[in-house]
Amino acid sequence: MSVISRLHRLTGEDRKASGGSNDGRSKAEQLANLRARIDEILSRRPGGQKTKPRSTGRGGFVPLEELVPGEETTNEAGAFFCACHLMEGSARHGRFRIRELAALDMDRLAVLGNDPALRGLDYREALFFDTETTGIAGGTGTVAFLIGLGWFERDAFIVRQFFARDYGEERATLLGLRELLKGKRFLVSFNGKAFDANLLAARFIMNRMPDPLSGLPHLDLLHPARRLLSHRLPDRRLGSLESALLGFEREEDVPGSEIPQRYFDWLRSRDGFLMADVFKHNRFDILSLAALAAHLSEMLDPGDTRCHPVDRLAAARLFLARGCPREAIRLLHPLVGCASPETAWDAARELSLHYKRTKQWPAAVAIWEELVLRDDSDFFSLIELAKWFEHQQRDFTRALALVERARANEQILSPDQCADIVHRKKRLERKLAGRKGLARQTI
Amino acid sequence: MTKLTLKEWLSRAEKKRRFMENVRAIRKISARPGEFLDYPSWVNPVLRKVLVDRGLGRLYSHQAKAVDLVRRGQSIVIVTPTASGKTLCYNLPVLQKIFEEPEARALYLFPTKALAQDQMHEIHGLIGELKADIKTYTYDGDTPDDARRAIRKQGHVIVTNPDMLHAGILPHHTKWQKLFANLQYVVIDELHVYRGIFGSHFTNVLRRLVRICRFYGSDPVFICCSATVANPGEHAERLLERSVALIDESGAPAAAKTFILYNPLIVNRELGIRQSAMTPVRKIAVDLIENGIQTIVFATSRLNVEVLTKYLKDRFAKGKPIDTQFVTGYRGGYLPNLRRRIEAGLRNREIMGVVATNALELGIDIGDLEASILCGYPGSIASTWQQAGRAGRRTGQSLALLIARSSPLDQFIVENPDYFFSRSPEFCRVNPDNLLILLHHIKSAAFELPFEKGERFGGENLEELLNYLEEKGVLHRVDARWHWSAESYPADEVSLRSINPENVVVVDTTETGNHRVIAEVDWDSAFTTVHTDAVYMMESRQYYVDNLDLERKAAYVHKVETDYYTDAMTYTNVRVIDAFAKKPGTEILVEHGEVQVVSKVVGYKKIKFYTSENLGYGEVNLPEKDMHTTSYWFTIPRPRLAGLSCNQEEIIDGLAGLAYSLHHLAAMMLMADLHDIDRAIGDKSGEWFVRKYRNWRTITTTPGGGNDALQMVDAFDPTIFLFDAYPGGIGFSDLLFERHDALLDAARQLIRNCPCPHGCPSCVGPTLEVGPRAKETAIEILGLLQAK
Repeated sequence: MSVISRLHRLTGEDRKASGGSNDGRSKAEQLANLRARIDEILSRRPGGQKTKPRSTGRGGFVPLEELVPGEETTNEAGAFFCACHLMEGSARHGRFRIRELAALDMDRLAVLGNDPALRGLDYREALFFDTETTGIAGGTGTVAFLIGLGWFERDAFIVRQFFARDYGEERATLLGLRELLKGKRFLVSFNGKAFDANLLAARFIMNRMPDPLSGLPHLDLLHPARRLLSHRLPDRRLGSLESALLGFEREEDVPGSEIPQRYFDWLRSRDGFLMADVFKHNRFDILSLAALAAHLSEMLDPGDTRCHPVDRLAAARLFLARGCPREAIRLLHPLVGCASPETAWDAARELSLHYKRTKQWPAAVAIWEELVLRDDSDFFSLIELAKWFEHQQRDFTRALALVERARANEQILSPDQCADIVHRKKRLERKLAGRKGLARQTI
Repeated sequence: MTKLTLKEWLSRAEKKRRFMENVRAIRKISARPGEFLDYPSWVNPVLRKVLVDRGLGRLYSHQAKAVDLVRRGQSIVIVTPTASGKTLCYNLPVLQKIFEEPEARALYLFPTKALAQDQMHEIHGLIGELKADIKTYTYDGDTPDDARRAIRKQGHVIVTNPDMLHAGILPHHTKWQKLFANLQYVVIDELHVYRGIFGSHFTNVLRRLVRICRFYGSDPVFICCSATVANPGEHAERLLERSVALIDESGAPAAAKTFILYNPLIVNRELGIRQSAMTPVRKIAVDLIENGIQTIVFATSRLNVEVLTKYLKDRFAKGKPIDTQFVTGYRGGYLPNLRRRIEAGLRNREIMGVVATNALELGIDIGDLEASILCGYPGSIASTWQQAGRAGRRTGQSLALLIARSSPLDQFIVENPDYFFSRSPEFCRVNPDNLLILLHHIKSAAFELPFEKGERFGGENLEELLNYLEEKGVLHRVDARWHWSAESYPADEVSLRSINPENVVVVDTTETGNHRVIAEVDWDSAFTTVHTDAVYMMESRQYYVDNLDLERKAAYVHKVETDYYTDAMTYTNVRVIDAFAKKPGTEILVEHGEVQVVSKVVGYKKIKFYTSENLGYGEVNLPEKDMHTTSYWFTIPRPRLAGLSCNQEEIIDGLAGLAYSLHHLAAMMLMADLHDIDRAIGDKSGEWFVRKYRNWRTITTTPGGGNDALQMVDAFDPTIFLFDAYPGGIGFSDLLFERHDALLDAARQLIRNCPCPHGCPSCVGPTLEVGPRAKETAIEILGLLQAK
């Protein structure tokens, strides 16, 4: 008997072979149910999914070439489909014109990426990239079937998408990527460090090829975007960034979660409709990546006053975190007087802490005093002043007075703040007592 | 009071009548000197010096043989007693190789995380003394994410477990390029643990490992260690699917040992109930410790560890102080620091008594204790020897004392000492080509690396299975390669410890608003253990099952205090589909083959604790289950039975009693749990089968029918089936078929030697269950079966 019919008997797919279930319909149904579930466990496909390609709802089968501009490309490793797309400098992506995207300031990109190696490079040497994969679980069974690539040529933006029409073409797409990278000197991605580059590294190993990505500087915009924009956005998906910041709305976009199944369906049906949306989705991702790079670097421009104060505060914090205080101070100074009291207070706080770190005491103290003047219950400033009197001036009496002042507003303080006050007060009282004792001894 | 030495204590005990009347056997195993050989010339002088400084001036003969074979590229399995220096057999060649080739890598596999940690300890110590730049890391579920990258790149020796290899390492092999490209040695300790389902999965994990190594161009040598079982060499070759050299002659010196099998007093002869094993354990342990004899007590559950520890602590805190007494517990769940402290306390004899679970049975160094008391048979003869080996590891006199509980296995062991003391009767079996298990691993393997046409994986027709998976849509074929073509991560769908990955969670609803999941039960046993109205036992607490919801895969329970537990009543119908093999000769038909098993839980009995009295019945309404598996069976021709002096009902009782004892003995022979194997009585055609209904037993034809279907038939050739309780079979029943005669011999010994008058849980099952003449009839039937 064949392996498969034995397997069918084990899984119950072969209903006829089983006996003993001839006692009533409901029992047979229960049994069938149970078998269906066992089968489900065995194949681990969620209940609703079908193995046959879903209908695209747009009529019959259409070859990919008719829907996506591009052509078959060949190299030593074989053939693959390469989609080509050029956007002129005057074309728009959301609120940007393409040529506005091109003028990327490399110093600011270096700050964004926290990578000084980017400083000496040229924006035309950047390769923007994003992949579409057969899953997000990772591991060696996940394949990047579509590698989307973008770069600037003069003021135009070129997008090339390397598509493995079948698993057998993966090798050729990887070789294509390697060849293209010869003219590029750094990478720009969104979450590419953790995902795309990692996955491609695995694919290169699986195909026994050296990984051309690993040595290149890599600006992953996810991390700076998180730092600069977290105050604005509900989540950090590229999609939500697009509409909120880049002024770009996608129409009829294929959800990322559907993409793997689209590819599996494509493999069986070769229906171009299944893939056309995926190409479009990926191309928008690449374009938005370029736009996001431009937007984030705009935010770092100290001279650009169009930016919202909250964004400028975030930019200043990024500069501070990256060890660029000069730029941070240029951003923070005007913010201290801005219309929004919260932002002004945050800016003043950052500035004062910077002065404190660099031991520019008069400047720091001036800010704290100013803040206490504005609000006499300002916990932060009262405590900072108290610290200053205690540790720098060694004036315990005035320090204690400030602590007592902070304590007057106990009801609005957090438990941590209360604990801090109690601790500080005790220590100051001890020091004061010690000093009195000392004074007495000297007498 | 003057303290006795162990020798004096023993000679006193041997004179005490009250002690000796419970002793079933005393064996004196004489001391054996060590056999030594010089270090091979290739051993690095630094490494040799460190070992010599540790007191290992020369190698034991088996160590020398092992390292020599490994050096020559031969995979080996070492089967020698506890404390015979097995770890050196792999650490020596591994460290030597890394000295020579700093790029070389080794992978150590231990069945549990705890054991891996302990071995890390050992090899770290050695490397520390070598002052060498050799990096050893454990890699398991507890390894922090930020450490993983460094471990993957730099670790020379990676210590992990099969589950992690299966789900965490192999599916990400590209990240482990360095390891797989340079893998020279794979060390597998506790090889005998990999049997049954776990072993069948494990073979497939090794198949995948070898496949990945091939991709990176490496071909590692396997170094395995196993406890003493009947077939270590054969088992190793089945697991590794390559030739493996067996090293089973220990060159380590052994201390003289007295081994005593002890059976507590019978307190209720009718029911076959004995005094709890805990009582003599307590008394003897206290006596030994009072005499300053360092003692380890092994208990079979965490709870028993705690109870015994408490007793000993109370005893020695209140009793007359003796200078060195100190007692403690030791089990999994204790924090590593505490465990290290206890181990040190045992080594320097500050601790004189320790109560442990089998966590201490394995290779943790606690020095040489003098006495080892086993509170209950640990489930296998191999474990018994490992636990006994905890006392008197190298020199002097030592004592091992096994105190039996009432269970059939315990009773069989102590009542049949020859069985225990002669060559190991325990076999490790696997069936890596169980189609369901194989299919899971083919999926995982395809995820790791596309399959090429002509490739081999397991013993079945791979191409057919690949085509099947392609039809199912998880693989996609391009030319001569099958690629993984689904979003899922197949290794996550399989647990190496089960066939059906589906579980039922047990939810405790005792506190409203605070429902907690207290356990998971695998899908198959859920039907019998957590059906609605069952009493589910966990950590000796009872829970009443309010509802078993199969849709949600949950059983909702609440805490109760009852004086009974429930025992599910299942009817089972077995039909032979295909006989693979038949024993030649004799009228008795003995066969092995594939069967269809239809079973249904129809009700349950309420059984009173201690007395096993039947307190009543309940109905259960669950769908029936249909399973194809492998079975061993034998048929007794009707005319032969006609000669017996009993009626049909009694014959059926006798068969049931015989099946009961065969089932227990089969589990013992296979080191399996009782529920890994199941039994049924019917006839071979599948037309008739014996069904237990409430308190009578009958032969019936309709599998699902109600009470009206009762009838007695004459045309019935009774057949006893023992089958693998898992779809597709896991290799148990073909061994039972091979060992048919040995199994019947063991059953006769068990039933004959049992001191009960009419049958008890230790032989043919409780009298109330199997009828008053079951024991007698079972012996008569055995006589028929074994008549020449």
